Parts: sequence; C-alpha cells; structure tokens
Amino acid sequence: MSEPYLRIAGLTKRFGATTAVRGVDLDVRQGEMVVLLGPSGCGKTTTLRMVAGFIEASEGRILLEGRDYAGLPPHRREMGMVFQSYALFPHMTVAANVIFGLRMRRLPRAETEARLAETLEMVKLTAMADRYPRQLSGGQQQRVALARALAIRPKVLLLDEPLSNLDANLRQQVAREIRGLQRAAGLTALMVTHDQDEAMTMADRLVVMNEGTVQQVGTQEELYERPANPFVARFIGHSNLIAGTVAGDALALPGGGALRLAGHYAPGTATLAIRPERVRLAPPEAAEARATVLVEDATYVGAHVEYLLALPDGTRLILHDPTDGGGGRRHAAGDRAGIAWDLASERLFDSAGAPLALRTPIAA
Amino acid sequence: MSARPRGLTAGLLVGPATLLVMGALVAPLLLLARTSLNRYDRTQFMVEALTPENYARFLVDPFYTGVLWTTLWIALLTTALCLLFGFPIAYRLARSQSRWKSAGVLLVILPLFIGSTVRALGWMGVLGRGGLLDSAAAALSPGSSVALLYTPFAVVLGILSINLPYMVLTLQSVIEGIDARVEEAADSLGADGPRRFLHVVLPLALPGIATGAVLVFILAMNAYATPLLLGGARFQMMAPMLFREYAVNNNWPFAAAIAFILMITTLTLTAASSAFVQRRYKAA
Repeated sequence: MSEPYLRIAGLTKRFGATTAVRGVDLDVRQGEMVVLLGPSGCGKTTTLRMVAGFIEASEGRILLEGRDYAGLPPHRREMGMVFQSYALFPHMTVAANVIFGLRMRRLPRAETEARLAETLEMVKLTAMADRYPRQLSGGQQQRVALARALAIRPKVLLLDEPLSNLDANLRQQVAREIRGLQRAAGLTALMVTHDQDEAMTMADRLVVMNEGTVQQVGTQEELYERPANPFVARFIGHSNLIAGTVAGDALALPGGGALRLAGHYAPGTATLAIRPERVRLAPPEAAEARATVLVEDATYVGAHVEYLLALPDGTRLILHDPTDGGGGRRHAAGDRAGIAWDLASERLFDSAGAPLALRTPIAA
Repeated sequence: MSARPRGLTAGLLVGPATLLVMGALVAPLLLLARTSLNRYDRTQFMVEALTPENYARFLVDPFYTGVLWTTLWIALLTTALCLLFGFPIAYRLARSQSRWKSAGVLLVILPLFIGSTVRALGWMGVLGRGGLLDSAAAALSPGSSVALLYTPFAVVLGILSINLPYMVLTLQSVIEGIDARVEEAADSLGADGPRRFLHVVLPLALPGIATGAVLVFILAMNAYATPLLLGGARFQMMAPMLFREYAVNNNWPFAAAIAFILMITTLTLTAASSAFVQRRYKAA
C-alpha cells in the first residue's frame, strides 16, 4: 500500500504532569475528511493544534507527503485553519481577510485578484467584499473564515469546531456547504467537534477520542454497528450498557434475574451494549422475548415512543418504539412487557472493554 | 426605588461630580487665564490689566522658546522610548498564561508606590559623582569617572522609569483585548513574527498605543521633580521654570502665561495625534 497523505504517528502531548494526548496514530488519505470526535477535554483540539503547529508535540511525528513537520512553524506549514471563533481580522474588509494569505505569499496582483473573485464566488460572498467582519452575520463570518483558509489552497484544511458558534438551524446547512466545498476542491481535511450529528454528517471517517487516546477509527457504519468498546457504544448513538455475568446463553444481572442473549459467548463478567431503537416490544410470553420488564415511563416524542423500562433487577433500559401514524403508546407506566432484539444488534464487551467474540453453538 | 423620574436620579448622581469639576477645575482655570493677562511690576507685583505682553515676552525670547523646545523633545523622546520598551513587556504580560503573571503585573505597578522625588534621589545616588556607576568605573579603571547626573540623559532616564508602568499597563489591557486566535490565524496563513506584528497586532493595538502615548506624553510635559533634581541648574524644562517665576520671582502673571502655553501645547499635540490615529484606524 502506498504511503498515506497525512500520517500521525505516536503523537503525545504532556502539559506538566498531565498527558493531554497519548500516542495518537492516524492515517489520512488525500481528499479525505476525517473528523476527531469526543467529549470536551478528550485531546481532540490539542491533536489538531499540534498538526497546525501551534503546539509542539512531546513525542511522535506528523508526516505530510512523507515529510516530517516537526519543528516547522505554522506559517510554513501551508495548512488552512478555520477557528471556532472565526478569528477574522477585525480591521480588514472581507476581501482583505481573504487575500491575507496571498499577500504573505507575495502572489502577483492579477493572480491575487483572480483567486479573490473565485474564492468569494465559492462561498457566495462576492457582494460582501468591502464589508468589515462586524457588519456580517455569524454565518457570513464563518464563510469568510473558510474562504480565507481556502484561498491559500492549503495542503490540509483544519477545522476547529467550525459550527459550534452558529444557530442550530444554520448548522446543518453550513455543514453541507463545507462538505460540498471540501469535496469539490478535493481537499484533505481534519475537523474537530464534540457534536456527534455534525461528525456523522461531515466525515468520511471518524476518530473517537476519550481521555487523550483514540478509542476507535472508522466509518459511521463501523462505529455504529461495531463499536470497539463500551465508551464508543455509548458515545455514538447512546447505547444501553448493562453489566452482568455471562452464563450459558444468558446474562445474569447483578441484582438477580437474567436476560436471554441472542448469541453464545465465553462465560465471565461482561457488559451488554444495545441501542434503544434496536430493542423491540414483544408479548412477555412470546418465544422471542429475552426478558420481562416493567414499564416505568412512556413518552411520545414524534418519530418514536421512548420507553423507560426496568429489568428484573431494577436496572434501567431505554427502548425506542417507532411510531407509524396508527397509534401512539402501546404500554403505559406500570404495564408488564417483554423485550426482544436480534443477534446483529447485540454486542458484548469483556471486563477490559474489548468486544466478546461469538462462539458457535456446539452442535447438539 | 419608588416612582422617582429617571432624569432626576441621574441628575442627583452626576450633580456632585459636576459641581466638583466646576469648582476645582474650571473656576481656577478662568482665574489663571485672567491672571495671565495682568501686568507685573517690581514693586507692586501684580497690576490689574488686559495685556498680551506676558505671552509676547515668552514667544519672542529665544530662552523661553528654547525651554519649550527642550520640554517638547524630552517628552517626545521619553514617549517613544516608553513605547519601545513598554510594548514587549506589555505583550509578554498580556499573553502570559503562567501563574507568575500576577507577580509580573505587581512588579510593574510596584514603582508607582514610590513618589517621583524619592526616585529622582535614588537616581542621583546611582548617576552622581561618587555614586554607584562612578565608583564602579573608578574601580575597574582607576582615574576614570562617569558623570551622568545633571545631563539630559539623566532626565530622560528618570522620566522613562517613572512613566514606563503607565505605558505597560495601558498597552497590556489593550493587547489582552486582541483575540490570540487572530494572531494564530495570521500565522497559519503564512505571516511570520514581524509580519504578524506589522499587519495584525500593531493596527489592532493602535488605539491603546495612542492612549498610552498621550498619557505618558502629558506626564512628561509636566514633569517637575525629575528635571529639577536630575537635570541640574542649567537644564530647563517648563514645569520647574513655571514654579520659579511664580515662587522665586513672584511674577504671577508671567507664570500664569507659561502655564497656559504649556497646557495649550500639550492639548494641541494630544488632539492632533488622536485625530491622526482615528483617521488611520478608520482607513485601515
């Protein structure tokens, strides 16, 4: 296989006694959009800032087209950065902001003008060229920031929470615009966000981080269907996590009672991860029922009814029952119900957080 | 707060300050203006009159205009030096995230606790004959001596040391108001240190630079103890000269005229520089 376009290897950052980023490895292909996703303080921004050159790595390497970028200052990295606060130059017009990077490169006047026109056209801000940033809306400022980064034709586009300062109803639209521009220009991009929906919409691949380490790298589908550990299972799509002990084909709950599992696993302590929308209601006496539960609450939220259920030992489980226009809640608080799910939706992790492999049932 | 009209509350709050300003600033100024138009007589001292002769005397005598020029260039030079030395300190303090930052700020403020007279005396001990520098020079190469006291250099050094904290504190607060990300943006767009300073930091700090410069310029124009103690008998600046006319020669009308000339020169230059900065800032 050929060398990746951007390679991050063993990247580590220590601030005094604390380690903010611990041994991050990541390969990014040319033209790919990779999104670093994680809760605040997980090290995603520190990783991005090391790639940009604002923070020096304690260990590890950043290679772009095979070249080691260690010690190279930001102004020699040819990376376009879009900041969360946009960081536009308040004393310059939109046009002056956009051509700043070209002026620094001493591009000929004619080419500067051409690129300015082209870039403003791309972000649909041609009419705003002579305005100052303070005269623009948040969404327009965001596009100026993007145009300014694109104008230098960066080797890598870096986006630090680019949508978090926008109104909720603008976010989806701007996310698609950024994605469209990045695809059209064939740009390699690295983005940081704490918002799962944003990450899912924009990424070719996602990197889930927690406490300074990479939890899993993969496509949306890989992360959703095959989370590598309980953290990813809960962070992407909010799985139910139920701790217990595997014995036979059941998961014994710590407070008594058990859930019938769909697959066979090695016995021992384990955590079951199952998504609310992959659990369905079934009559308690049905063959497919994996447990009988007590309905504690049922809330109609539009696309589905959200049920709060209590397992035999009192552990809570959330179930999403899709609405079909025909009826609303099928159960009310206090009802007894059965729950069921398919083998493909079930995922177990051992006590160390590693996925448990399915064991083929011994032929009877 | 009952149904009292808003205007009345505001009036009550602003009233005392307005009265104080009227009584303590405007009235004495008017009195001073009137005094400056009186005539001086050796025996009667001040004689009621309405004459411009005190102003004329100052403006035609090269000695007096020379003192005004000296005052001007000392003030301009110290202002420029304050900027030159103050900016890097202010920038470092503003951008520092170290826990020693507040200690650094305290270090800048600390000299303000000591009056200018006491500090001038301190400089005399350093710069004077037999002082710290002189004896150090004599020890290093016997027979040599360094006499820096009673020179313009000593005055500039003295005023600089007094005014620097004002400049640093003013600039620090302005630089803290500049988003550090804006500098990073310039960095990622290809601007190295000097160009980031020229194209981003300097234009954004310009209003603060103007404020700081005006502040230390006014202080330097009106410096009294420092030129008196460090400049020596032959070195003349406006404030000490004004005091001598007033207290030693008892020529109140001429002292009043000097006061007005000093005030008008300072105000004119201050207003001109503010107008210039405002125009530049709008154009930039």
